[in-house]
Amino acid sequence: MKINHINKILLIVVFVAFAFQAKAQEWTVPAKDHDVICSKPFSKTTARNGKDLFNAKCKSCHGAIGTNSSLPLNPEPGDPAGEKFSKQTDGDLFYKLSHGKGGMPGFSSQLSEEERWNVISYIRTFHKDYVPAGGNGSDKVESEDSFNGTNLKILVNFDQVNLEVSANVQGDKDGNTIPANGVRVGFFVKRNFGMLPIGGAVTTDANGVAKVNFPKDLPGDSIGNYDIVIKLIDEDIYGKVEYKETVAWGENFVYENPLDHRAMWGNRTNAPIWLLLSYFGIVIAVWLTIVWVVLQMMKLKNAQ
Amino acid sequence: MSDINVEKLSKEEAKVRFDKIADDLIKPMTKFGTSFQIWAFVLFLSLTLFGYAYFIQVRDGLGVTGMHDYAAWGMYIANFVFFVAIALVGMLITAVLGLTGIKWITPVSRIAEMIAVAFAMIAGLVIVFDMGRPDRVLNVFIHGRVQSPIVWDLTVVMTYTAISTLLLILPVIPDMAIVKKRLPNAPKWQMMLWNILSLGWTGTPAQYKSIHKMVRVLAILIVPVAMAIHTVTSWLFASTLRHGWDSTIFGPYFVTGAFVSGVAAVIIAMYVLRKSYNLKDYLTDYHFDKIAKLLVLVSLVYFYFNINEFLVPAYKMKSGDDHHIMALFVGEWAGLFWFAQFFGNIIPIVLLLFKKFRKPGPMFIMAIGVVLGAWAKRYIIVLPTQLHPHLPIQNVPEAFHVYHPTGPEIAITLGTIGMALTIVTILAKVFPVIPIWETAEEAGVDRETINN
Repeated sequence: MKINHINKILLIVVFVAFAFQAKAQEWTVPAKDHDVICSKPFSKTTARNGKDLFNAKCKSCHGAIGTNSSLPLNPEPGDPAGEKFSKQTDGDLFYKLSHGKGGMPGFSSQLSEEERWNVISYIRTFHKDYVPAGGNGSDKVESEDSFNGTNLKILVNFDQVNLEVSANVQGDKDGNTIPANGVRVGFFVKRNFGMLPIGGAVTTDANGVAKVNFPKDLPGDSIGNYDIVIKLIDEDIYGKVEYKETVAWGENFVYENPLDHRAMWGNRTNAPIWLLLSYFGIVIAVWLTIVWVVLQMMKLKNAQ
Repeated sequence: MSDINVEKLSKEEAKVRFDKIADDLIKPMTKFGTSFQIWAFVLFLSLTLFGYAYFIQVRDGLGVTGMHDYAAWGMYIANFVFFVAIALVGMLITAVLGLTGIKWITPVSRIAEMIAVAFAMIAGLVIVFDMGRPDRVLNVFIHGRVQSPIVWDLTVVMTYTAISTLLLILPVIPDMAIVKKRLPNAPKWQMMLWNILSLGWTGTPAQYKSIHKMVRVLAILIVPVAMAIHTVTSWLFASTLRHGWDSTIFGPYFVTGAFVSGVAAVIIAMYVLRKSYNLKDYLTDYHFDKIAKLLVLVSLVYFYFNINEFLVPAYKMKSGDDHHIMALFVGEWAGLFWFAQFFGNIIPIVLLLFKKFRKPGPMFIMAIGVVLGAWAKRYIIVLPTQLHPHLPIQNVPEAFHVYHPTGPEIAITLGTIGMALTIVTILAKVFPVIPIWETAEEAGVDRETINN
């Protein structure tokens, strides 16, 4: 009995010790990385780009940001909107995001430096008291290269040889229609279920042009047609701006319904010929014999 | 049978001998003693119970049975497979042994054929009783796909029943002419039946020739049909991917299993008829000895298939199969499994090797064990597989994890057995259970005496 109790106590002590140890484990960032800042100012554009990345790469452990729904791991990943994150410098966050530790993977090989900063830019939009280090801009404004006009529309050029689509985005600003610079454009192909993105989000250049090359081996319909949809990604800013066009760039694809031809799995009108012949052949042969016997029986009386 | 060499009997001797045979075999048809009345009452009771249970099932639907989403085939289908198995013995005795010229089957063949007809007929009905909407049974033909084993199964069950019925009726024709003459005071309906079934038999050489030809043709025809009926029944299971059913030897495994249970059923019938019809001179120890050896033979073949069917998957223990095998060997189905293996297979093989067990009494008891084991075997072929599906059973009512047949289900199952036995009982009263003319011929009585 005594030994049992001692065992239990020991067990509890070990557990508590481990728990404290986990908590006490500090994640120290080298001094030279502590004060690193992003070379470009954070803006609404960088934050939006970061949001997509966060949802793709970080959400599975850290949870939807601002909802305190990170996974109950040890050590806890924590909600990046919380104090644990807001108290750290940009450099700390960038170092940790890049190198990782324990359960937290390092993203230096998966995300480019710019992408990692975009993620931090997004996280910072949840930190109320955040002041950009070195006064390098504000995440509350669009970046300088982001178009802030209205009434955007997309004009599209198709290069039939190289299957290149260039979207020319224009918008009204100060009473003039000018090329919209820094607008994110998405290129999609309509499939049976949902839209297939081609080339990811492309930001328009100074001429308001975003280009994407389409693959040559996309399956189209029976004559190789498929529908292209080009739209502005940031609908919350510019509203729904979309351009649709049918192109004949696909491979001919004729859908063959497996129920349309004769097969064992087909319906009754599509039974395989060999099976029909075997089944009815055997049934008819056997039953003709039976009928023959019955006729013989009828004639038995007069058999001589 | 005309080519048998027997001693030449004088006209008078032949007449005396034939009279004795005919009297011995016809007399039981007219007797309805106390034991028969009790038997008839038991059958009546089972049919009444069936009627009540089936009324409830048709009124309330299949919900009154123990079947559910997982065990969608229950006792009825197990019973169906059992019925088809028993019915197969007609082919074994009449065709396989008959065509190879085995003589001792003469007094046994009609008993086997009666059992075959009765059980094949009711097998078809058992499927209908398994339907919640029996009024839709014709849809199988109207909308059935030729690709479906279920359509093949219905086809062969009907075909086998038809051929078995003909193989029962054909050798009865000469007997009907004999019975008609010897029971002039029989009830009118019976007289009419015999009149029709004797088909104007007078015993001319042409009639003999014709009847032998018809029997031979049907005996050949029934071999593939009988193989088909039970092979197709096995394909209802083996054409799926499920654990315990996904087996390449299911066809022969079922056919050999059917021979075992069918021979045992014939032994039971032989014993009961020998006692109640007083046929000791016709169903002799010699016949029992012979059919005992036949039972050992078919049991050994079946034993061989059992080893293949269970040891091969048990050696590999594929995931999924392992659950199934363990449940049968040592798990919740072990009791039924080993009961079926021992009583249905191993015990007859071992005991019937000894001469003292190849006697009517011990064989009767053993045969009952074999038939019960055979029924249990069909039950554990049909059910455990369904309760071990590929995906785990989850988020369903507790009751879906097991299968327990309900009262109405058991009553209907017993009722179907009662039906088959009722048919056998009626057949054994309207037909002589042992062919008079063939027995007389083998005893050396000439055809002229037989047909006068």
